Amino acid sequence: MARNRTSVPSLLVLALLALAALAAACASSPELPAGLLEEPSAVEENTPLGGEALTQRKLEMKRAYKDLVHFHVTFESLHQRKDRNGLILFSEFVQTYMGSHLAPLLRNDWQSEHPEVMGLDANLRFIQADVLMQMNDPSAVQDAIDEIERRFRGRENMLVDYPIGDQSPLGQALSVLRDRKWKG
Amino acid sequence: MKAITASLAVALALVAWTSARAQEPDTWATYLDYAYVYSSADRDALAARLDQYGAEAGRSLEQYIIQHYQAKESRGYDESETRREAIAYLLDYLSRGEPDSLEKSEEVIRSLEGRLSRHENRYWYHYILAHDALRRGRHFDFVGEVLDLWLSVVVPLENPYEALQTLALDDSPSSGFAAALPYVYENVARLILLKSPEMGVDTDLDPLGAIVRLLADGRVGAHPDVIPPEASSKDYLDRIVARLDGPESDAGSLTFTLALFEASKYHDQSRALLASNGLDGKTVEAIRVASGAYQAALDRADTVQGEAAVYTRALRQLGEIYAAKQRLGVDPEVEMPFTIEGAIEVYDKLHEGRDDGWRKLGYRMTGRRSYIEAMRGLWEEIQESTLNASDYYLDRAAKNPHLADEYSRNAARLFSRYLTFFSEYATGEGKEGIPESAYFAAHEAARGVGDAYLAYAMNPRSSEIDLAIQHYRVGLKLFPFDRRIWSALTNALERQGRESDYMELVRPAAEMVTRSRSVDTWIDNDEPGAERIAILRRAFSDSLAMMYLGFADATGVDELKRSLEDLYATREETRVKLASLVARRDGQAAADAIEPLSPPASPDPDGDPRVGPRREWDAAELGQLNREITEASALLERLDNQIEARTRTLPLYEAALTTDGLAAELRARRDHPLHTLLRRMYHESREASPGGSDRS
Repeated sequence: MARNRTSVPSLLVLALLALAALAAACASSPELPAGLLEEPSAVEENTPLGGEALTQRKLEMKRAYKDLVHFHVTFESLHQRKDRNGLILFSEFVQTYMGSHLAPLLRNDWQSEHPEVMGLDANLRFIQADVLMQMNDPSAVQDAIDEIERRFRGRENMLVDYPIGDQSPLGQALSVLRDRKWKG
Repeated sequence: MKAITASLAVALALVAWTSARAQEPDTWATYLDYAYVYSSADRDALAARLDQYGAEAGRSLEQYIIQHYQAKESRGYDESETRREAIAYLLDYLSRGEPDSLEKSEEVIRSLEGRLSRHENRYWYHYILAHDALRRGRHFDFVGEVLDLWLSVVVPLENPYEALQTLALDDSPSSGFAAALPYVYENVARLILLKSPEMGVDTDLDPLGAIVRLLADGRVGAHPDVIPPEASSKDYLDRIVARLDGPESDAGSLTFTLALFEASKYHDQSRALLASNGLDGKTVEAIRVASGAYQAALDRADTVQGEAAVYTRALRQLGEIYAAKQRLGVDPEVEMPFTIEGAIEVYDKLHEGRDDGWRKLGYRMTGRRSYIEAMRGLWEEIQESTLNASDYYLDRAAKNPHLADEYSRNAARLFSRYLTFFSEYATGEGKEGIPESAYFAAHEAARGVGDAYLAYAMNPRSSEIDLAIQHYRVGLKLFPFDRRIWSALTNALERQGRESDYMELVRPAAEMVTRSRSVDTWIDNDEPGAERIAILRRAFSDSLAMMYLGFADATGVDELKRSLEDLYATREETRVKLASLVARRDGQAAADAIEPLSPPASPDPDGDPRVGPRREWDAAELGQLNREITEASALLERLDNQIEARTRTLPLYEAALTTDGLAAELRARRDHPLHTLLRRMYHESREASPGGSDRS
């Protein structure tokens, strides 16, 4: 998170740190043969999980959903109290959370198609879009809407937990979301 | 020279001792590695624990810091050692409050800024910087450090910890810092909820509301095998979250919730002192601190919801002060920035939002039920503090006869204020925000006005007696089930020579009960108190019973019974007398028909001329006899009527007396079920009255 800290490391310290990092790189162990530790391929990412791994993933998604509900409530509170500084600080936090934690969790295509997690996946995407709306980021909301449309085409009748605290068919929930995007 | 030799000897001894120590395992290093387990204990507990560790390690933390870190002229870079050093200084600061130690800790942990890939390093980095921000009063930095700690330590560790736990590996020595997660939750909770108010960081904390909610959601207290429930802050955390999401919130503001919670703690302390010391100087000071804390909470409130929450609690304190003054018979000077009028203003604002505006008042997240609950809560405190303050003035009036006129009128003004407030909102559209107990309280206030003028004031004016009568009638209408208000009304009427107006004035209140559908339903459904209400309803349907209620004294029931027995006796005597009179008249008439009258040869001078030797009655005597018979017959008829009426009414009155105590029960219990009946009766009567506006 980028914030104005009261004690910013001086240029000298930064330079020393850079030198130390360079020295550490030079003195590192023998290199690994190339290709042994590559990022997972698209095929691996699209492989549905099963067993304990799937259970863990479900837990992780449920936890993320609950986290986002709490973020949503906090945004509501900050907006209602017109707490501008609080909104800035908290938006940065949520943005980082979404980038570092939520995005990897929602990256895989199979989750939106797997019968055990597709509901969770859709719910997470809707609440993420709602929270993005509270962060006044309409373009990110539109991206989330597009992504939901792409992933769930043909499943507009599937029930999702949106609007928050309610349930509605996915197609209708998308309409609500689009409507809210402009109303704020 | 001697000094140099001595110094050298000491230095050599120190080196030898240090060298010997170096061979021993570094006990403190282990304690410091596990400092996340105990570092958030309160200062005394932490100091005691560190003392214990010092005894076990053979040297105190302070000595360890001096020997292990300060004695080193140059520190070779070792990540673990650096982290331990920063922790050691932090613990020293937390246990002794020495700010230099925290500065040192911050300086050392910042040297790890290039090595924050390790979760343990990140945790201590942000934890120490958060403490530093608290000490310096830098609100935004504190919030930022806690949010960073959550993102960079908690979020990445949650999945690994869950996986380790699933496989029962969370206790494994190689599980790393993931195993510390339950402690991290606990420490973050304590940092936000306990440490920040303690350090006076009491504004701009609202983004941390999210972290507090996350902690309460299956995190703090979820690992009783690791942190026993009694050592966890779970209960406190749950109470804070309940406040955040409840009617006593300020649109979910953590800053406000912590401020109000802090004020409530001071309030509890002053209440405890009041119970133990009475209103002495210490208690008055504690009250001043508590009301100051409530004022601080009010300053933090951005919404009407927050204002209502503060006023609700502050007014409770005001009511307690008046009750204590009355009970203890003392009147110290107590500073209190909150007034009943201020609370009524807040209630007005709440009422304004009754249609759709309540969301904007702060209840968007907590919902309409919470809005209604807050209105009722505030009302109850306005009601109780008003009644307590009025009672206090009545008590003073009774104890200071020379000032009775002044004090009783103060009480009457307060009672009247509540009645005005009540009549403004106890309507079809306002009743939702009124608690059940408000109706009985209005009865108490109405009766209080009457009593203030008639029972406490030494010289009530004629207009005040009129007011007293009007208020007794209002009180009777609101709660007709208290016998004493009936007799209070007759006493008031007597002072104006208007006793004859009694029946006319009380009949509407009695008919309200006898014709009430609500009362009918209450009795039919056998609701609480139905039996007693049924008895009273029977009494109210009998005008003689109502006369008894107004004019008889409870202690006179035996007297009334005796008078009934006297009536029976009188009736018997009258009956005998009448029979005798009739017999005489009839006997004379029969004799006249058999033998003609002749004058006696010599009349008996001592004999009764009526039973003596027969003589002819003249017309005057016969007329007299007939008049006596007529009178006796009329008396007998009157006696029969009286006996019949009293025989019917006395049991009703006697039964009505057995219901005494209802008022005391309702006064003692604001959640008494009968309050609901009073509410229904009141609105039913408003609906029935011409121009009634309760049909909503």
